[in-house]
Parts: sequence; structure tokens; C-alpha cells
Amino acid sequence: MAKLHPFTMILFSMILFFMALIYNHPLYICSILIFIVVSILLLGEGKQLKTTMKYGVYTAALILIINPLANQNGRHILYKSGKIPIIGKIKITQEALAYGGNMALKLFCILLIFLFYGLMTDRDETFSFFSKYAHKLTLTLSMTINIIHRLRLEIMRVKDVMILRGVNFQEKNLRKRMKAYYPILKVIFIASLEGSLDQAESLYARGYGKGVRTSYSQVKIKNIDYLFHGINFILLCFVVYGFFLNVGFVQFYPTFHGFDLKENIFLIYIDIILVVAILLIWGCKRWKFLRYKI
Amino acid sequence: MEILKIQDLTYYYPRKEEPALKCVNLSVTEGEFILLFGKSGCGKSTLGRVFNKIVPEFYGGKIKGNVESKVDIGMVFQDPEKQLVMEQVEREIAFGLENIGINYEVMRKKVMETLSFLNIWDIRYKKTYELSGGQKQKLAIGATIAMGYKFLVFDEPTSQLDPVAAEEILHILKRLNEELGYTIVLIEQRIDKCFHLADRVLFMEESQIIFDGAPKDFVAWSYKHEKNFSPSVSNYFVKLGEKNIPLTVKEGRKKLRKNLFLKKPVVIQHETKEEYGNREAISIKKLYFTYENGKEALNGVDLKVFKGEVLGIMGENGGGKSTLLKNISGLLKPDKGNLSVCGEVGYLSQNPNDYLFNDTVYEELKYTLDQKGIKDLSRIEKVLKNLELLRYKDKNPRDLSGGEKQRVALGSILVMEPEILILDEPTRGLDRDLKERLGEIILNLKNKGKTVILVTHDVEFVGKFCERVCLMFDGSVAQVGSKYDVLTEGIYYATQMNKLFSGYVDKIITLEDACYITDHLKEGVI
Repeated sequence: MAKLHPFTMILFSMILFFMALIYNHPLYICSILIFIVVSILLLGEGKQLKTTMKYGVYTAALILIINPLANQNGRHILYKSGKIPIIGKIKITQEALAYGGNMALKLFCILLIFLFYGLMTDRDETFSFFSKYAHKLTLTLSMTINIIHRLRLEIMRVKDVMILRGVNFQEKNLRKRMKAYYPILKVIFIASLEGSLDQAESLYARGYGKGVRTSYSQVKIKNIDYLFHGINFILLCFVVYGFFLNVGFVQFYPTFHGFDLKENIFLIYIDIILVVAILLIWGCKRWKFLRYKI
Repeated sequence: MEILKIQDLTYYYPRKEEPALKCVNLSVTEGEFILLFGKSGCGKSTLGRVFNKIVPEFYGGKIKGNVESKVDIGMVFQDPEKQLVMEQVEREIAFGLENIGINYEVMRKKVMETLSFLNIWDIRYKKTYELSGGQKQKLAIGATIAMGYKFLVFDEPTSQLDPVAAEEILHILKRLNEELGYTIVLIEQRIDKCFHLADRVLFMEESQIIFDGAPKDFVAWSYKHEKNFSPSVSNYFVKLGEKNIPLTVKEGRKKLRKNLFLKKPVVIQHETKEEYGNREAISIKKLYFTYENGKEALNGVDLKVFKGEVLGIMGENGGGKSTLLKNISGLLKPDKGNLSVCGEVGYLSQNPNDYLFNDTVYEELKYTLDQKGIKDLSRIEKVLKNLELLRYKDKNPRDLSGGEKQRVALGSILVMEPEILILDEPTRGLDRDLKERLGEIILNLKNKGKTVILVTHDVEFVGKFCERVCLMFDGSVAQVGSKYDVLTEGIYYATQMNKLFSGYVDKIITLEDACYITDHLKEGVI
């Protein structure tokens, strides 16, 4: 489908991000997660979804394990240990387990929002967009990317040179091994300092900082951007309104509290908006008429 | 029309006692192609930076005299890596235009035209760090010409490139000058390929311009003042005492045809100086190596390197030379095949800066000994003396000149007293005098019984200092043998002298060969 304007997507992702961050109602979080997963699948990027999920699995598992162990609140005790030296007694509660699970869901949500943003926009357009408004930031970023690539090659080269001068990088003794890396660091450091002067000279020679800049980036706003801005607006209104109604928040400790009807009705409104967004994405992808119209 | 005038310019870099430029007077007319050269450290790069005011506006320092320019001047630097700032090719070209506030429509047109002029249209969406050295330099040129400068200064734009890419860059300069009438100032060390392009030659020595005139006049002047800076072809004819000296192989051959009156080609028989017998230092049989990404770098290499010889390995980038060296030096383990190396291998990489991190030259050499667990510190003095570095013993190696830095790096290898020495592109960035000196060091090592392997694109250097040459192509050896077999009869891996004499007198490689044969032809005996 046609890529969205970076600003449209930044706003949309930020609202989703904000929602995933503030809400702690498991159903709300699940809704957002399902919305993102379905959208990514609709875009035909199941493979990327899998890879991103893989990154999250370990951290999510860690949260699931650590939260019940570290958090001793909650009334429904599932397991109680005897006295362990230093740590003391450990009890695992149903509430702490649920809270950990909720946190893990949030983590997936946040990870996938980044992937979703990447899929809905064009990387170069995002770059252009930022370079127009935050020019120094993008210049620093692109120079850093270039330098990282150069450094990677340089480190490999210097390492080879040092190995042939008899430096042992496989040293078992950690202190000795750190010492072996010292020359590489120093060579790279000096080379970078010298390189930075050359880069500054080149920037100067190409007129950087001499006057008012113009921008080579022209990112067009398409019809679909207006549609998504509409969704953004309505969603934002609901989130703000919900904030005043105090919905989307439940209490886990000392025991579950706050799963009432009001919350669920409000969730339906939010879900309707998200379904509209999904339909829009589906339509743009599959429906010829819409594809040409936007 | 005069577009730049420099009067009595003297310039000191900040905190320097010696002037970098001394009483420089220069006038440049529109559309000229000027070649500016001289020994390393003579001030040519500084003068190049005066043109577009980087000196003194960027560097600071003290300046006396007048610089008047009627046009804006663009500059392209030596190292393409360090000039590029953006991530994408198209944006890189646009970067300068954005800086000077050109509006979008004009900018698009200029970017498009630059891409077409340089024929880099197909790589416009590529990432700049994915490009080859030659492409990067092309892009740097593109980024400068897109800004609309009609006066361009190039500071050794080909010194970091292989010869194919270098020639492409020189061709671009020629087109800029001839097709568009741009004024070009080219600062160069390797002059064989660009001398004839110039309308005017400036030769600098000790911060001053000591020659300013036509290329043909320079050749005679250079010979008279023993400067050793003319192209090889011209050098030969100057030595014969000819007038109207040719600058290119084409002109040279025309003159030779008149001079030699040969009815059929002469072939000189070179004595095979030494039989190496079975004294192999390195023996390689059917060697294969594939990188983790699946790239087959070595494809059944067969090669013997004999003890006490200087072997030159040449070939295209990506032909497997570096991989072969890494296998020989033990950095990589071959997948298949036999590789036996007798004795320790010393390896000097292209960039001497990779070696230098200690505070003094002495410590730099000692570091290698410490790592190798060698207690004999007398080796350091001995090596420093051989490399004529003893007086810099307590200096910081980073403060030395390019040639000296390279010798320190070489010293840090030689203290291990390796039996086999591998030099990777050792002539890169060196002027002729420094090259000669490096050659002497190599011959010296050879006389001490060391085996030296040179990997280089520099045909002239190989022709002069190696006995055998190996050409690598696509991961295997294309030809290996005496330099008189490998470097003659070719169209690419041939020296200037060989190209000059090819078909008239065969098996000529160096200037010495050429002078020798001409003397004998005159006398009627070969």
C-alpha cells in the first residue's frame, strides 16, 4: 500500500504508544496489540512480525519471572517458600503474576509499534522529514552511520595488524585481554580525531553553516494521510476524554479491582476506531478503487 | 580572462615557525588545466586550500599578501571516505546545494544533471558507505560540481584509488575541462597519467613555486635541475638529448619510429640471474578459501615463493590478493589445499597509521618485541639505523611525515626479524623519491636473504624492484613468472617504457633497460 507521511504516522504511533504506556487494563492493552498484529499481517509482513516478537520473548519471559519473585504484594498466594538465607521468605501471588503478564503484553505492544511505524512509512521520507525540521540531528545521525561503518572496517584491519605484531586477543586472563585491546582503541581514537578534522574541512568547503538552508526533501501529503489524521483526531479525543473518566486503569494489588462495565463500554468505542483503521489499511491494500483514490 | 590572482602570499599555520607558503605569486586564467606538484610536504596542498579560502578561514594562522578571486572555487579532497556526510548518494549531491540555499526545483535539476554527467544514475539510491573507493570519489566530485563551481581544485583525488578508478577520475577532470571549459587545478603525485592533460605546470619546492610554465618546458627544466619529476616517457627522450619532447606513449612511439629505423622487432634476451632451485619459502598448492558470506575468494591457487626473492603480486581489487596474504600470514585458515610457510611472516598494511600508537618511535618498535617475548633490545637500534630513523628515536611517530611513518611501521615489523615480509600497497601516497628509497630498503632486505612479497597496483615499482611477478584473477593465479614475461606483451599490466617500445624492441621494462638498448642499437650491436 501507499506509504504514509511520516508526520501522520508519528502522530498515530505516538498515540498508540501513549495508550500502551498509560493504560494498565489488560483488555485495553490486548486490543492495541491485536490491532497492531492484524495490521502488520494485513501488510503481509508476518516474517518481520515473527523476528520482532523473538526479540521480545526473552525480555517478556524475564519480566514474567522476576515480577512475581520481586513483588510480594497480592492476596491470592499460589506458592510460599520456606526461609531462604539473605533473601528471606518468598511468596508468589496470582496478582503479581498477572501484573507481570500485563507488563509483558505492554512490552510487545511497544516493540511492535516501532515495527508498525517502519512498515507504514518510507525510511527515506522519514529521514527527509526530520532533516527539514531537525537538520542538525539528521546530519549527525547520517555521519554517525557512515562513521560506524568505517570504524567497523578499521577495527578489523587494526586487529589483524596487531595480531601479526604478536598481540594475543584470545588471552584467558581478563586484565591481559583488556590490555591487548588498548592499542586498537588508541589507534582508532587517534584516527577518528584526525578524521573529524577532515570531515569538518569538507563540510566547510561545501558551504555548511554559511547561510539559510533549503531542503531537498519533498514529502507529499496524500489523501490517506487526511483519513488517518481524522482517525488520529478522534482517537486522541477519546483518549483525553477517557482520561477524565478515569477508564483503562485497574488495580492489581492487593487484589484485582476495577474491571467494571464502564471500562468495557469505553473500550468498545476505542476498538471501533481501531477497526476502522484496520479496514482502511485492508482497503488500501486489497481494494482497487480505494488504492487509486488515495 | 584572469579569474584568480595571488600576490606575494606568505602563510604560517597556527603555532608554526616555518612558513607553509613563501612569497607565492600566481595568476590563473579561465579554462586552464593546471597541474600542481612537488615533493611531499612542499606546500602544494596548502596552496590548493588558499584558492577556496579554507586557508586561512578554516585553519587560522598568519597570512601576508593578496588573494583575489573573481569566482567561487570548489574543492575535492584526497580521501573520499572522509568527505561524504549523507547516507544516500542522491542526498549527498544535494547536501551542498541545500547549504547554499538553492530552491527545490533548481536543486532537483542540478542533482539530476550531475548524476547523468558522472554516469552514476544507477547508484543514486545506494548507501554511500556501500560504494567502492572510486564511486565514492566520483560522488565527492559530483557533490562539488553540482554546487555550480566552475573553478575546481582537486587535492590528490586519485591517491587512495586503484589505477582503473584513478583513470576514470582523471577522465572526468579532462571532460570538465574540455567539454565544460571549467578551470581545474590538480594536485598530484602520480603524474604519468595526467601530465599531458595539463596546459600549465606548477612545481613547488620548500613552500615556493619554482617552476611555472608549459609541460614540455618543465621536462627539460626538470632534467637540467635533476628533479626527477617528469613522466617516464619524457624522461627517456630527455636523457637522449632530444628536442621537442613527447609527453605521451603515442607521441613517443611516433618519435621512436623515426629514430630507430628497425626493419623487424628486436627481442632482448635477459639473463636469468639466479636459479632458485628448491629453496622455497612459501609453497601453495590448490588453495581454496570461502568467506562466511559464501564469497569464494580463493579458487585453487598454486604458487611458489622462493627464499631471497622479491615477488610482486598484482591484480584487480577483489581478485583474491588480500585473502591470499591473510592465508599466508595465518590470519585466515584455508578451507582446502596445501600451504606451507617456512619462517615467520611480517606484514605491513597499506595504512601505516594502523601501527602507530606509542609515544615514541623507540617504544613503537619495543612494543612488538614485548608482545613476541623477545628480550634482545639491541635489535631496535639496528633496525632504526637501517631505516635511517635513529634521529627520530624519541619523537612521537604520529608527528612524522608520511614516508617516515611508513618506515616506522615497517620497523615495528622488522624488529621481529621475519624471514618473509609482505608489503601491501606500500607505494600508495609516496612521491618518487620516497618510492626510490623504499625500493632501496626492499633490495637491502633481499640482499640479507629475506623473502619479500609486494602487493601493489604500481606497475613501474614492480618492474623496477621485483624479479618475478604473479597476476591474480578471480581467485586464482593467471600468470606467474619472470617480470620480463609477465609485464611485457600486455596492454594493462605493462610499464610506460614497455608500452613505448612494444613491437619495436620487446622485453623492455624500465628506463634503464630502454637507455641500455638505445646505446647498443646506436652502436649496432645487441
